[in-house]
Amino acid sequence: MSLDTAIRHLQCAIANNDQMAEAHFQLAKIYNENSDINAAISESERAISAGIELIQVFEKKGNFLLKKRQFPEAKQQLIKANGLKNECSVYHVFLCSIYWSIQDIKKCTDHAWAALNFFPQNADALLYLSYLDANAKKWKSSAENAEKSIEINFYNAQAHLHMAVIKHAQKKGKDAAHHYLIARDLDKNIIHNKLQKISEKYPDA
Amino acid sequence: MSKEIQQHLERAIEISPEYAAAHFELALMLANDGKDKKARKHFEKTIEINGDDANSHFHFALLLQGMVEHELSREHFLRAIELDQNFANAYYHLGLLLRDLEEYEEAKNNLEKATDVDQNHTLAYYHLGKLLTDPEDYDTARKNYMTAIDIDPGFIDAHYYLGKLLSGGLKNDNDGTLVQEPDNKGARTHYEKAIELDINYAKAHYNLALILTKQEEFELARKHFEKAIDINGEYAKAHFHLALLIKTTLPIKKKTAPAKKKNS
Repeated sequence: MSLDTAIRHLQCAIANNDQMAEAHFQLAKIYNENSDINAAISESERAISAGIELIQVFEKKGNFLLKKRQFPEAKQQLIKANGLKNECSVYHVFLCSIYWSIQDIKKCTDHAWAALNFFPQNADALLYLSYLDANAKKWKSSAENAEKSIEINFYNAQAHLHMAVIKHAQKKGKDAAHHYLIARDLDKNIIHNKLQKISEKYPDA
Repeated sequence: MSKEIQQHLERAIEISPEYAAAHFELALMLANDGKDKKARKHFEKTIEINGDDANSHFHFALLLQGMVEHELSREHFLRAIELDQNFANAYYHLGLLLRDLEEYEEAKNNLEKATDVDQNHTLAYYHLGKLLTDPEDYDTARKNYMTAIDIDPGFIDAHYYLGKLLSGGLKNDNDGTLVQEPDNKGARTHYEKAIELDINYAKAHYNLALILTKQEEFELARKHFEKAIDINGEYAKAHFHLALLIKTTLPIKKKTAPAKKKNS
């Protein structure tokens, strides 16, 4: 069994159901791992459009059932629509990560906002907004988005590391040390020389 | 033989046009042969002559349901029930009609009534189980499938759908909180039973493979995904999950070109 076999099965899944958003997305992930960026982007976009179509189907059905006062069944349709919104949000964040890696700032920003539009509590999308702000040296808004991201998902080491970088840029050494130490607690592989030195100055941070 | 009987019935009606039983039997035969319009005429005549026969209303309702005349069909099912309040099949078929009309609560009530009247109505238990999809109905759905299986241990679909209910595990706990507690062991037993009863049950192979994947029995899971695909080559979900399984079980490849570092 090889990755090619996995790709072939994903392609079969799509050939039989082109609206299978998650199959497009998995294919996108494999293409990205293989550094085929264009194919990864195009599969991710297909995943999103398939997801949107399905959301509309479930919402339409859910609203129809609501009008018929079939509440449990309506609820199930709307729960499915909501689940797909979360998935679409994840697909947008994935595109964010690709555009971030190739430094296409405009598209990265668009997809971060699109992700939040589907699911406002997407911690990863907020983190990308924070990266983008930091990239433009907008430290205040960068810190705000990083903080929101951490509030939603405290256990993301990268978010704490990034917050440490922001705090360092804002010349808040103790706060930088605080977040750097949390990042290190969460992921022992994280090493940042400058922040390491700062954290040694504030061992109780 | 049936043509002969039909001719006799037609002759009987010629002699005695108000002979309700002859109209009814002829209507049943015509409906059975797919001659819906002619059957309808004779059912209508039967009911015109003897409007108090629950069975005539019931069979006419079935014919109308097949002719997609849902409202009229519903009326005759209801009339049949009004005339015979222990008419389990009338409740059952009315339940199915209401399900198709997406009137789920009423559908459930009628299926439940069918099981009250006839406590061995396997299909009513089964379809009621399928309609009880709300997490708060989890236990009731399970009991209905179990009863269907108790009555008919070879009921393949009941095993399959009970497996699905158990592997989903979405239910409300005692204080009404939504919880997900899949009973994978129980689900596995029922999927395996469905496969034992029908080796070509693609969906049972697929769902069993999903459980085996969760239980990290990857090799067996792969075999069942492959079997599902052998049976139905267009089974998109089976292709998808087999791909995921293959990807998960591949040896981890070291990354050669890391992505751009994020601001840190």
